[in-house]
Amino acid sequence: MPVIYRDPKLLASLPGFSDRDKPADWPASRMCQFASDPPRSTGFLPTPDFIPSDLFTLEEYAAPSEDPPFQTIKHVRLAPQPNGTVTRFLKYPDGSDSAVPLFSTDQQAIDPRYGFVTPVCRFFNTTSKPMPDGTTIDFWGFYDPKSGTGFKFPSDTIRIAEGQYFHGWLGGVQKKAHTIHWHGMEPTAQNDGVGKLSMEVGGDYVYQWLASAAGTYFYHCHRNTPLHFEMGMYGMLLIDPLSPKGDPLLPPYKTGGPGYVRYKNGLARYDAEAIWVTDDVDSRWHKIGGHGFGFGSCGGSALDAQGNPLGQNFTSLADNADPMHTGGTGLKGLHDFVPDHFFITGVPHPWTRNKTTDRKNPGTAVEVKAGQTLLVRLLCASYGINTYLIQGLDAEVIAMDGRVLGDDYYSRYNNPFYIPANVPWDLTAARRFDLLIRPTRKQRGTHLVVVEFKHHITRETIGMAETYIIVR
Amino acid sequence: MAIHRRDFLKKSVAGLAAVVLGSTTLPKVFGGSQAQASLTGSLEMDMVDAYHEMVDGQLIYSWAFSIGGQPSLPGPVIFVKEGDSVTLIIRNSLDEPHSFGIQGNDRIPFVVRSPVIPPGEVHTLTFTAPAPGTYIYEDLENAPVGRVLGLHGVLVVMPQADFVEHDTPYGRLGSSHPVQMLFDDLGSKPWFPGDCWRPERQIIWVFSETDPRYNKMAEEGQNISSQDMLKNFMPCYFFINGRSGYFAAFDDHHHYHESGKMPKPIPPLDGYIPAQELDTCIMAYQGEPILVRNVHVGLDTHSPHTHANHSYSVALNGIIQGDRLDGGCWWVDTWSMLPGDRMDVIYPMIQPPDIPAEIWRKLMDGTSEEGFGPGEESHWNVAHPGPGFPMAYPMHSHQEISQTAAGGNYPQGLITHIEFLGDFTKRPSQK
Repeated sequence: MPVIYRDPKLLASLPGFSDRDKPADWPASRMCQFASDPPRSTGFLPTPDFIPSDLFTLEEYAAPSEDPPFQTIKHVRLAPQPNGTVTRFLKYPDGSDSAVPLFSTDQQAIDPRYGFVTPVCRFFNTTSKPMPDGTTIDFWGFYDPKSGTGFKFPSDTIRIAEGQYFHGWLGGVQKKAHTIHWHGMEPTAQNDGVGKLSMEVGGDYVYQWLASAAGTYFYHCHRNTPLHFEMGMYGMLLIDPLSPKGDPLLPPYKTGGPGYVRYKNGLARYDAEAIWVTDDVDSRWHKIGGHGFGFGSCGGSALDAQGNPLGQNFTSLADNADPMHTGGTGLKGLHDFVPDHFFITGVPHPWTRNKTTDRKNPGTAVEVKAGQTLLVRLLCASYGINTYLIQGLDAEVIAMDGRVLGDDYYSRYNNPFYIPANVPWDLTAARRFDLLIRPTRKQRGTHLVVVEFKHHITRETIGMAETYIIVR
Repeated sequence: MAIHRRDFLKKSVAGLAAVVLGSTTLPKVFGGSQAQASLTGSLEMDMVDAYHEMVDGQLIYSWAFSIGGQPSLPGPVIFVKEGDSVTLIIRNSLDEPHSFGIQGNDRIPFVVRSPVIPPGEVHTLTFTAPAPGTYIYEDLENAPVGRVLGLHGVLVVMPQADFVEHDTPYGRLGSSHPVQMLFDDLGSKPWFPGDCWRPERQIIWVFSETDPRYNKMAEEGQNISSQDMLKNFMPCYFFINGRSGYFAAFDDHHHYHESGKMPKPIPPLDGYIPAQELDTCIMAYQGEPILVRNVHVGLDTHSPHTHANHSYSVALNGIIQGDRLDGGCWWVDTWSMLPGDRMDVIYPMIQPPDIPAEIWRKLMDGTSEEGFGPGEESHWNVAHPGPGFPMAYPMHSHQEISQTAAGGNYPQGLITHIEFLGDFTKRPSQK
């Protein structure tokens, strides 16, 4: 069973890694491999054939391997070290431990039986972000301690290659307070990350699934989701398709481009990439003191087989409006949402109007050359309706909710379609569109992109944010 | 104001009742226990009041449609065949004027609309069942107040021709139509192993909300301004088929699966399927595609999100997808529902695609190691400690405020379950 490897030069440079552990058929330059093709007759999803293309052949990627098959991780064994760090070993169902540590807080190491664990996530409690009106707002989220980028809102983007086995380790969680649900990914129930249904994470958990379909997804906490999602516990999850044979670009592609994206039954190359997450924030929710909003708040529990509460009881409207819970903000409860700050990818309006584009530190504005292709990955993270409008540029919707439009299999019942310039469209919570924009020389200049935020009941416009597509 | 009837819509019983009208028999609908003979002649529906029990036990005054003395919220689903003549006798047993109407689509605004029905009066409506699809019947007087307070229900129109394998819910559409292509492929193409869609596999989800302040005003007989409601509605209870949270997921069919015991049905009218029998929660095998009729009778904005599979949109507000230039049957994990929307989707029940092949093989063999560890129990997996099938996933509105009750108490809101009972080789033979 082929196992997914990362860049061998990177692996070789890590302490604790030795040639002795490298399998004999280590691919020289390829970055990732597919799982073996399951036989169709038994009803499996036909995964590798799913990408018909005359641009590359799968034999380039599928290499024989003697590694043992993919196994469900049951436990992570913690081994405290004398120097105060904690090393984690995977414990397999057959009772064996991985010989090599999963990772430890002071060194990276990989179990070659298992492949690279991607990513490592820890929950962080609070980061305070300054707002244009001079106030600060606290956010929660996840971060990857290996990325070195610290606490961010939204949480770090996770980016992997299609066909890769994904392992996401969530740790540092007390009291079963959090999970990670990988929105749009469709694994076993045990890896779906839905608190109260599958399970909640107490301590450590390694989510496992196969990245079967390239596209734009996101991950978020699914425990007391109304509050935790609003507090910022979400990040993008991007799955990149393989590039054509011989192409030096290998997935996962760099944020900001260039790269490849699924387009109908093949691929499209993009030169620039924008990742826009539109979100609205009610600052009162971020000043909550206690979390006693009944079930689902940290420490709450579910109902038993008779429908009686296990543990904590229901809280009433009066309980949930208690200043003890609501930090004296006057919040009536988690049904009272009146946003006062509006964001594109964590940048509050009007700072979204900053026209500086920097591939290394992408903000909101994006730059693309005339004749080139811009990919816009759009996620609505707002609780209301978001209405989008791009001035002066036509856009083609090529994927929705991570699924390409117009392929030969599951998406042969639809087609990509155009949104002409200056025509608005709406999204509601959790929906994603992938757009390709190919500006011509006549369209050089600065194009305004407007997002209107509309209240979830009255559908009146209550806020906005603006950014730009700059065509050079 | 005097309340004429204090019937009690218990949270464990309130749910979907159904009536079959017309001259032919419809097959048993998902969750129903037997093929239902239909009521010939007319159907009498009464507008009454009742107490609707919320998930946390609060009793909220509501209006509801009632048949044969049994109120239900939502009102009973009415199944008819296209072209049948339908006669409804609507009685207003409430203390204020109401009316009755069924909206159509952008070509025909109303299927039928009554004049105002004063308190205590009766009005008889006769109309021809329109094109196959999903419709809302509601109180249109002082809209949307009556509908929001409980006077709503669903009309399902099935095609006139008898079902043939691979037909759509709208009849045969022509082989190049995207929706017909989808229904042709379900159960016949290698990427959809299993069965085609069948009319008994229909689920109806009626989304609604309650802001108890307006129910209190109705209980006290106060006038409710529709403009006030549209501006100031702040719901704190959210429902699928009149139930929330646990009770929308663990409905009575689910209990039957678990315990083998159906709850005692209300003595039926001929052709009347009592409230317990239509499912809210999806329980099916891989390869049994489900038609889900989403209907939104509330005022909030919802983003229904299915886990485990993406869903295909097949019809929206009377327009069959693919009839316009907006791309065809979208395959999405989340869609948008605005007030009054009726959207039909197909939940294909394919193998969740991000389960690795070896793990799916073990699930098929029964040798799966996917289970729950100690300390990892939730209610669902206490009943099903695993490993293996059945596997449960949620469907819920991703507009997360809808996941609360009384300002907190996640996840006792607009959520239900989707359970995979097994792989496609273990499907029971078609019923």
